[in-house]
Amino acid sequence: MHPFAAHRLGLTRRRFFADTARTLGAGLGLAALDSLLGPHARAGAGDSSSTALGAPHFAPRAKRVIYMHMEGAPSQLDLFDHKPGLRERFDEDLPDSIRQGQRLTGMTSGQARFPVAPSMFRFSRYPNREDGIWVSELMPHVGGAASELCFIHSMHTEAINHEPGITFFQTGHQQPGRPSFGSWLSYGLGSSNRDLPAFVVLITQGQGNMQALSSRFWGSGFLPSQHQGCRLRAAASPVLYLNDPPGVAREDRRAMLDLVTALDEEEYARTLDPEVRARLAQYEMAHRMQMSVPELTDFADEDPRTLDEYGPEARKPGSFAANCVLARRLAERGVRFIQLYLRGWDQHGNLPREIRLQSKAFDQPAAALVRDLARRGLLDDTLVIWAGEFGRTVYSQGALTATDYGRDHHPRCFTVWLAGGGVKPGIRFGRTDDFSYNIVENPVGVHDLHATLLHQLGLDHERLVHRHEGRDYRLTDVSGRVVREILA
Amino acid sequence: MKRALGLALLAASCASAPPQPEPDAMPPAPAVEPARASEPAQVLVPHVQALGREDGLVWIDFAATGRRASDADLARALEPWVGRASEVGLARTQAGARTLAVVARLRELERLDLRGTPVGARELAALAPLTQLAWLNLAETRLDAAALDALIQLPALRRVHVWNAGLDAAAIERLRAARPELAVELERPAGAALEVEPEVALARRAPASPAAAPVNANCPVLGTPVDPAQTTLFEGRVIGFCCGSCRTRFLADPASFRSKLP
Repeated sequence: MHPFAAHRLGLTRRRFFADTARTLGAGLGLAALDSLLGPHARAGAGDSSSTALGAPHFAPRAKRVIYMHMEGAPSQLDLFDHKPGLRERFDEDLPDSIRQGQRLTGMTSGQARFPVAPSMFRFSRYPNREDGIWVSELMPHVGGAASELCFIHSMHTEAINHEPGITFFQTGHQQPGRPSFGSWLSYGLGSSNRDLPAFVVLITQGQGNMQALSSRFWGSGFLPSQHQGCRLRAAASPVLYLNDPPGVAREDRRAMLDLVTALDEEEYARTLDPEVRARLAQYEMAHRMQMSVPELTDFADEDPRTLDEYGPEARKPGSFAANCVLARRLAERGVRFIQLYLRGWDQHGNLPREIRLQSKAFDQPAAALVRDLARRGLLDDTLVIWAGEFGRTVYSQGALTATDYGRDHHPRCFTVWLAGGGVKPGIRFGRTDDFSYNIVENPVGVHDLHATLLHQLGLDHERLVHRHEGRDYRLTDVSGRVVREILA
Repeated sequence: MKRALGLALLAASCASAPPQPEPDAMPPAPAVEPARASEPAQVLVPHVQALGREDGLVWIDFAATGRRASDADLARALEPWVGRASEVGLARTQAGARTLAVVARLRELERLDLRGTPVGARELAALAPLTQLAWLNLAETRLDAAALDALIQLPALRRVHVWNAGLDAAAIERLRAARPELAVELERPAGAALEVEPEVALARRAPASPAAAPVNANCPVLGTPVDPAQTTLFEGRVIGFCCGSCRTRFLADPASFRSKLP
C-alpha cells in the first residue's frame, strides 16, 4: 500500500489531536497533516488528482523511459542543426539583428567580437519518413537510425548555466529541491518489478570538460524517498554495500532485516513517519537486489553479435555502450525510468577535437540501442529521449580558426530527439534561424517536453501533483503544453 | 474481502509499496494468496496495472517474475485474469501450450507479448478466438511457415513483430501478401546517406549589415511605416518593424506574419 494511504489509515482523529498537541502544536500539526495526506486526502473529496494513486489518467502509449542526458550541452550546430549558409559567413560578426541583445554568460560577454563559427564537419542527408534529415559526420549511426527518430530543433530553456540547466531538465525547476522526472514517474505509476528499483541511473564519464553531477538530479525531493533514483556503478559491486560482508550469510541478513522491520514498525506506529516505511522498503529492495543485480549486469547471455552492434566498448563496464546494453536489459525487466548520463560535452574551446571523442563514444551505441529496441518490439512502448541541458552559440568563444573553435552556452535554441513510445518516427519539428540562434517555428520549452512525455505515459501533467508545504507541486510547475503535433 | 486480497496481491507485485490503481478501474480481484514482502514469493505474482480505461481492463505482465516459472505455473497465475486484461506480457518466459490456452480465453485481449518464448505454430493456432488482438510480439521465437496461418486468421491484428522468429523471406512475403494492412515488423537496416555535402569550404562575404534595408516598407504587425533601426533576419531576408514591441511580437510567431511580408 502506498505510504500516504497507509498513513491516512493509521491516523485516527483521537491520535491526530494527541500527537499534534504533544509535539507540534495544533497549527503546525495541521500544516504537517495537509502535507502528508497530499493528493490522497483530496482524492477522497473527489479531487481529480486521485489518479496519482498509481493508475495512469488515461491509456498510455509508453510504459517506460530511457532518458539519455548529455551533460555539458552538445553543440546543435555541429551535430543536427545543419546551417550550410554559415560557411559563407566564416569569422563575420554575429549580426545584432540576430543577437537582439540577448544575455550572454560571463565567459564571453567581455569578448570584443562574436565571430560566426560555421561547423567544420560535413553533413549527410539520411532517410527519415519525410524528405530526409541532414546529420553531421560525427553521428553516422544516429543518422542511419533517423527513420525511428523525431528531431525537435526548436527546444529552448530558461537556464544558461549547467547546474540550473540540468536541474531544470531533470526536475522542472532551476532551483534544487524538486523531485526528478524519474521520481515523479515512480510516484505516479509505481514499479513493475519488485526486485529492481523503478528508477535507475547509469553514468558514463566523458572525454572533455565535465561538470559536477549531483545526486539530487535523480533525487525524490519532497516525494517519499523510495522514489529516488538508484545509481548503478561501473564496478564489481554495482550498488555500494549491497553485498553481504564477509562472514554474514544471506540467512543472517534476512534475520537481521526481520528484526529491524519489527523495531521500525514499532517506531512507525509511534510516529507515523512515512520515511520509516520508506526506509524499510529500501532495505527490502536492497535484499532482493542482491539476487537481481548480478543477473542484470552479467552480459553472458547476450548474443556476441548484439554486443558487437553496440560497438567496441560494449563489454567495458561504465562505457556508454555498456550502459546502453544495460538500459535495454533494464527495460526488458520492467524498470520504469532509466536515466543515462554521458558527461563531457561542455566544449568552450577545442570543440572539434573533443566533440569527435564524445560523439565516437555516443553514436554507435545510441543508434544500436534504438534499433535493438525496435526489432524486439520494445520501442513501441518505450520512450527514448536524447537531450543536453541547452545548446551552444554560433559564435566562437575564444580564437576562431578554420579547424578550431569553441562555443559558449546557448539556451535560446537547441536540438533534442525522441524515439518510440507513440512519438511520430522519422520527422523534424521546429526550426531555427539561419544562425541557429533564435527559434522561428514551433518553440518547445522544457515544461512542454515534460508535459508531452508524461502524456505518452498516460499521465496528465496538470493532475500529477503532490502537496508540499501548503501548495501543490507538479513536474511542469505552472505551465507546459502537450506537443500533439509530434504524437503518432 | 476480494478487493482487499487483490490490493495485497498488487502490493506484493510491485517494489517499494507503489501506489495502487483506482478501485473503480480495477476488476474484482482474484483470490490468490499473496506472498509476504519479506519472504520469497510462494506463488507466481504478475505485475498488474490499471490502464486508465473506462472498461477497467488491466495490463498483466510477467517480465519481472515469470522467467523461471513453468508453463503450468504461468497458466495458473494467468487464469484469474480471464475477462479482465487487455494486455498481457509473457516475454522471455516459458509460456507454452497451457499458458496460451488460458490466453485464448482472454477475449478482450488487444496486446500480447510473446517475445522470446518457446511458442510455435501449434500454440499460436490456439489464439484464433482473440478477435480483438491488434498487437502481437513474436520476436525471438521459433516459428515456421505453419504459424502464418494462425497469424493470417487473427482479424484485428494490425502489427506483428517477427524479428529473429525463424520465418524466411518467402514466409514474410506470404504474410504481407495475405494481410496487406498488417505491419510486419522485422529489423530495419540502417539507412544509408542519400547524399553527402561537398567538402567544407569556408568563406567570408560581405556581411549582412544590421543596417541593411528591410524588404518591407510597412510593419508586418501594425502596418505602419518601418523604422530602419528595428529589424530582424527571417528566412534570409531583413524584415523591418515600426517599433521594438512589434519585433518582439513578430519573433514570438514569425510564421503567422508571413502573409504580411512582400
